[in-house]
Amino acid sequence: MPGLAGPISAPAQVTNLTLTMTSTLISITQTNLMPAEFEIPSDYREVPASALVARDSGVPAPLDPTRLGFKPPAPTLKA
Amino acid sequence: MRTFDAAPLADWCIVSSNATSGAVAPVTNHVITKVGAMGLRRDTDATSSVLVLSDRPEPVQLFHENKTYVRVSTAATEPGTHSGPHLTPVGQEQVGRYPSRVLAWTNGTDRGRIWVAPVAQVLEPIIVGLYASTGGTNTGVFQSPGALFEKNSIVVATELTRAVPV
Repeated sequence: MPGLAGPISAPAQVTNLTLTMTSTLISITQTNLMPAEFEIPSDYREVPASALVARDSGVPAPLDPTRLGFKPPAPTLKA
Repeated sequence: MRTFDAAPLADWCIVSSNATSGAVAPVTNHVITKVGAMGLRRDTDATSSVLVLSDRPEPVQLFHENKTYVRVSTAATEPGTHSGPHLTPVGQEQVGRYPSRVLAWTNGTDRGRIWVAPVAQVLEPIIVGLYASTGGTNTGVFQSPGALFEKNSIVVATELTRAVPV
């Protein structure tokens, strides 16, 4: 019958999406950074991690550096 | 005549390009990692930064749009219990101008490769020692471009493949 399509099939069930993240070094430079770069701004407020709403972007959350073996540097003692 | 000495350059800025493919909307952005005596700051995009500070036990993630931050759990990585996945050499490749060794890893759910180049190929000879003693040591981020690898190499590229349920 004109105007009618064939039987509607259920959408294919997709169970996994494979994402590939690549990262390439561009530069390493020596510099002097401002101390404020390593401070939590005073006007920021802490929220529990559970309050975060996952973004529906298809992109996985940023990797936790500590899960990749990062250990915070030991404080540097200055004379 | 008075002379003024410029302050020695004590910190490091590492810039890398990140690209995600396979998602609905592929994403490419630059990531800026700043390493200093006080810790590490990683600006992943204009809206978010991660701080790993020497005086805090856990990293925090800043969200600039709403001026909030969360503590990132480190429960899965108690000190001394996590050494990263095992790396298997799989060959040599050229990454840009760097001749690199390729190493592969998997942790059961994710898999990836890293490319590492001799440190002298990446940095000017005069700062190789400085990087190893300060920036390279502090960076320490496994599988992150700019990280010092086995004391004589630097990670120049990484690839991570992950299956995400939809």
